[in-house]
Amino acid sequence: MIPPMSELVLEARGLVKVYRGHRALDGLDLEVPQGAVLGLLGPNGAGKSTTLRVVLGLVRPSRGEVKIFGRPLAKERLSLLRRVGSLVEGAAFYGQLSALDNLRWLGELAGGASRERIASCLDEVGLSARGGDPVKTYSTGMRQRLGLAAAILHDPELVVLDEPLSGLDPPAVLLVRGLIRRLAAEGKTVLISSHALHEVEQVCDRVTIIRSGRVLASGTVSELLEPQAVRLELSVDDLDAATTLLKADPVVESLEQIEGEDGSPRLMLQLTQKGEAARLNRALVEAGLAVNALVPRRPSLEELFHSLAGDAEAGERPPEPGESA
Amino acid sequence: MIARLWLLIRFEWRKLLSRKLPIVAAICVLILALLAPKAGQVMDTAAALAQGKTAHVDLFANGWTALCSAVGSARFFLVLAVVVLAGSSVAEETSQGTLRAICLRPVRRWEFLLAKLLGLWSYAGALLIAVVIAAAFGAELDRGLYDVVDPSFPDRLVRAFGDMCGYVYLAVALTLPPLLALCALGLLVSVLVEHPGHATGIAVAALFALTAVSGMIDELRPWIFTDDLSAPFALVGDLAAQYTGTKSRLAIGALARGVWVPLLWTGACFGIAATVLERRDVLA
Repeated sequence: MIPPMSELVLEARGLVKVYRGHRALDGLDLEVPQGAVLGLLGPNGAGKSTTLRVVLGLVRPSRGEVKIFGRPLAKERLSLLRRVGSLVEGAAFYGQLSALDNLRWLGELAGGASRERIASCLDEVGLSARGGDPVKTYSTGMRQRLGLAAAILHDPELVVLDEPLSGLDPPAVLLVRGLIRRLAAEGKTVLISSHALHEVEQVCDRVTIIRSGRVLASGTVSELLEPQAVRLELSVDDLDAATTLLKADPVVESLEQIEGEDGSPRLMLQLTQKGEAARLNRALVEAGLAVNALVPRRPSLEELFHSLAGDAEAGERPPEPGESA
Repeated sequence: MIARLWLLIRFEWRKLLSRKLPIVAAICVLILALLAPKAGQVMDTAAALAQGKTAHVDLFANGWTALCSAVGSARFFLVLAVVVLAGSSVAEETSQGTLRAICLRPVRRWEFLLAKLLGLWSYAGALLIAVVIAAAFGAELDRGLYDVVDPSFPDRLVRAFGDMCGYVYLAVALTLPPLLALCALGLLVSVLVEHPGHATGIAVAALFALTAVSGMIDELRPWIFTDDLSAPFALVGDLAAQYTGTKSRLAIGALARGVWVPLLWTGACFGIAATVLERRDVLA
């Protein structure tokens, strides 16, 4: 369901971007409602980075319009950027200066950030002990965390993060996940582009999947996953007998042997309709089979993503200009 | 906007002072300016003795000529340092991604570029003043800075100490506009060429090319600012040496041209650089 216009923090309509004859964006529409944590997903070359660059004013669209807080970005970029925090294409800082100096300056450019605020942001990303060190001595992960601190420094209402988990170790991933959840809890709007679909599923409440510069699907995570075919994972004592029985059932669309979490062989059933689990269970038991488990399985975002984007085409397109391989 | 510009200029200074190149360049240029007066005298004497002549004594040489000669020597390296810094500045920001970081903040791109121009120019101006002070110190130690008198009639005052100081101040002031044009030229190259190494090389090459054109084509010389980088102190040196052949260069028109031609270059280079940067997609 498309939210009312007034609730949209970010709105992009008909974005087209042509780089030397290559259409990186092809009529892309994007809507980010207030307070949402929206994940922008897509294979390499889908147009994710270009989309973020366009909505932040780094790149001029060949066609289309971007509105932030209902105001046109092209005309009011300066005033709008004061309300936006971003981390795009990895963090970039002046290596010879300390993290504190970099943040102090970036904060002043955005209208001023107190010492306490800078210290609190550094603390939030776990860098308070290294704040006085030159950034050139930081690891990639530390720079990425510093980039996140810079993005939230001026307490923005909209935070745009491009691959925020890239280069982070597991503890830092947890830290960043917590940070994004805190932003969401404070009512901030967050737009994240990421390849880490599992992470996106954990922190995002909305998802937009794009490919070839066009939107394939958009909505809340549950809205997108719900219409998928019903799937059941079956653990039974005689797999061959169960396979024969189930293949003959008209609601079973497909059947596949898989390995369960404990390593035992199982069957994954894809059904054409809901509410059939009890009947199938009864049929299996009546056929003399011992059913150990019959568990409904919701498809993951990753499976949805691959089904929409298509594995075969992922990575076939040339990368976007400026995108790392 | 003024506050933002001032903030950006202050940060340009902060960045310059946190790098090795501007500091090393400043130290080298200052040492050269300090030692040049004595070194010049030693070189002249050594050259004369090598040719079997007695030590050459230039009756018209004095502390002021030594000062101008020292500034002239140091100026070459000062100009080179400034063009290298200007040529690499925006290209380095592009390659490091810091240009993107700035473009994501509420700053206009031309403001960022203007701050770079003014930051570099103020560095160049401060270095020029430091060079003049160092050269004056060296000249004072070497020959002393006094009234300029006719060597044949030592009682005849040609130019008073105060007048010579005034000429030196004027020469500093007249060197500032071509330094501004030099910074603008370097920045233009730095905006057009995104690779820092290439940008630096092309900026230096552009400076040498302009100098060569100015030297080879007399009709173009008045329209090329590179000549104005050396002309003011050369003129003061001539005045101190009582050389009268260049007095016409002291005409108001010639002095004014030494200001507005570099300013025209500055406007053109900055205008093109700002337009290109404003329209550029920041991809890196």
